[in-house]
Amino acid sequence: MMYEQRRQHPVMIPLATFRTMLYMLPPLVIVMIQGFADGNVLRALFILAAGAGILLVGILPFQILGWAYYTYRYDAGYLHIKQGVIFKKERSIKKERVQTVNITRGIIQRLFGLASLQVETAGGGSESELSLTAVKLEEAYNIKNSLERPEGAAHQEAGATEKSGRPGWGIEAVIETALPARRADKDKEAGETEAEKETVYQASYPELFLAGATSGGFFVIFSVIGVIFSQVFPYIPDAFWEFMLEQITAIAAVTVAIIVFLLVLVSWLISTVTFVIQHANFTLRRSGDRLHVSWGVIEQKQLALNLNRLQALAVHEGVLRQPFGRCALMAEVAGGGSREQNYATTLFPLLRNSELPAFLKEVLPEYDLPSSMVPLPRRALRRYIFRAVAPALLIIVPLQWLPYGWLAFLLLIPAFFWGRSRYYAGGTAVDEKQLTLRFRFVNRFKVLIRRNCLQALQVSVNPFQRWWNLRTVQAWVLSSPAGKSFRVTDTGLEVAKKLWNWYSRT
Amino acid sequence: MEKDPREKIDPRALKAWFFSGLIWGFLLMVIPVAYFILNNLFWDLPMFYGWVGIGLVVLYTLWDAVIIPRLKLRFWRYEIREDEIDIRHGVFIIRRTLIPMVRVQHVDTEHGPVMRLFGLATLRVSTAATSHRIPALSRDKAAELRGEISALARVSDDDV
Repeated sequence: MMYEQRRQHPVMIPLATFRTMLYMLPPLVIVMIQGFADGNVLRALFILAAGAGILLVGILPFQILGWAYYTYRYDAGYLHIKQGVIFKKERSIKKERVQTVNITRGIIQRLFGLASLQVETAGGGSESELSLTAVKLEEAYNIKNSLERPEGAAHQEAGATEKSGRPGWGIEAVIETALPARRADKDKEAGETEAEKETVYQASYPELFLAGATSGGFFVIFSVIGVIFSQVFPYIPDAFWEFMLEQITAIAAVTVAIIVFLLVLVSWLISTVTFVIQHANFTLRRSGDRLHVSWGVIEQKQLALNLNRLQALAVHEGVLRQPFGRCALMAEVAGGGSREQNYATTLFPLLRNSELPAFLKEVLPEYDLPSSMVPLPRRALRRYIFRAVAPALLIIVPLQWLPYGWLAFLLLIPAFFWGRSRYYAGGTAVDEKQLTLRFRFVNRFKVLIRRNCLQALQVSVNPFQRWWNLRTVQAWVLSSPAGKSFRVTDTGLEVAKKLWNWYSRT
Repeated sequence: MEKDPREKIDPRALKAWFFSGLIWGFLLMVIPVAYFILNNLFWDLPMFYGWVGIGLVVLYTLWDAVIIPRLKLRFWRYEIREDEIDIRHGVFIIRRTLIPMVRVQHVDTEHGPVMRLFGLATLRVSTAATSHRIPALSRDKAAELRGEISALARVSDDDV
């Protein structure tokens, strides 16, 4: 019988038990050392033995159950897994979904003629991965063969992957610190042989300076300086403060204001200069199906990404940049991006809004910046204002018990304008291949998602929205490390229906 | 979007949710009971708070085990079409989700002890970015749908 449910090799039980015990050993050793400090070797050894025994009794049954209740079966292009003692889970992985099958062997596994097998499917998330830690080597190869396509088909598939929207990116998520000259040569060669069209954009220093000045990074630095200041504060001798107070009581308020202003100015300068240095020589190059982004002087960084890894584009209009009519272009990239940038990748740090359409047409003609978007219906305005004003009131009302508490009512003014501006930022647009969502929390975003990168679409409605014929539209894209969703609140029912029908395939 | 999805979840869900709600209720009941016992032994606080606690737990259990399951059962709908999965769920906020078949990465069925007692299972559909569930299907139905969806969830090369 080939297609029966199988278990992994039972050697897994002692191996896994041993491994788990190793993780739990350090605290035991600490206890033991303490016992040893008394000079009582016997007691220390006893503690160790007892501890190991307790661990063994505690862990072994779980490992046995875990082993017994983890079964797999492969047949006709599927891999089926059943697991769980109390909470049971079954999964079928289809062969076409499998990206890579890795077989690895450690020393101990070799000893028993075993191997571990990792099956990776496309897409992030820890869940999508399957790993068997102890199967016979032969069995591992059988599984690998049954899950991987025949040679010819595999080649074809690989070729198709490059062009289609299918996430075949996983393998080449490269952020590399490479020698730029060499890199350029390589590209030149490619350009000569294939005669690909190449477009290069480089950010100028004045623009970078403006980008740094409006990046809002000074808030961070200001708070850092503030924290340092508050740490140093207790160590300043009292005599110094007395002296200071004598000198400046009359003009204290002014001085404090000046100090704060200077701190802000210094933080702002630091953040601007840091930004310019970090992003110096920022270059975006498109050649063929690839985008190359490089930046930095001291630390040269380069990011090469294939177009099929690009899941969405985001036009990011920082609140400080809006007065200057500038925006930054960000990308949601599958299997890339860094934590500092919230996993989004900057494609270009600063652009004039007016330049953006031409820029996109040159560099990313796959995406289309809609010339007009459907705004939110008028009836949504009061809901936006309510959502901004209500929390403000929650802060204001308790403050009424303080002297001058009524001043807090002034908060209502910015709250009102914030809600209003969020309302005006909301919008949607859709064409044949692309969904565009525009929204603001503080910064305004315009997110461009191609239909084949959209993982799921949700339309939700609460009772109040139902009354006003409004809906919330939410769209998910693949991003690293997991999915990301974008949302426009309070679109009209008609618009939500239109988006739904656009996405629906029936 | 005009047409709601057709399929409903299994009505046995009502029993299963009632049962697990009841278990939760008993677990929560430990708190006011412990208050009574500790109060008798060590403290001398008013009994009143204990009764309030019991009242709250009873109300919550009624809500969680009787009312909410009925509403959930009433609103939960799904439909598996050749090209997409359409799910509607929620009690106050009603969410309608559309998942194209070509985006489905894998399908799981899961069940805990209570669900098993009533012969139910949850179907979980994952895309590369999201995970969606259809709770409380009969176990056969869940297994059948799992097979059906993983067969339909083919890789698309044409979809651009």
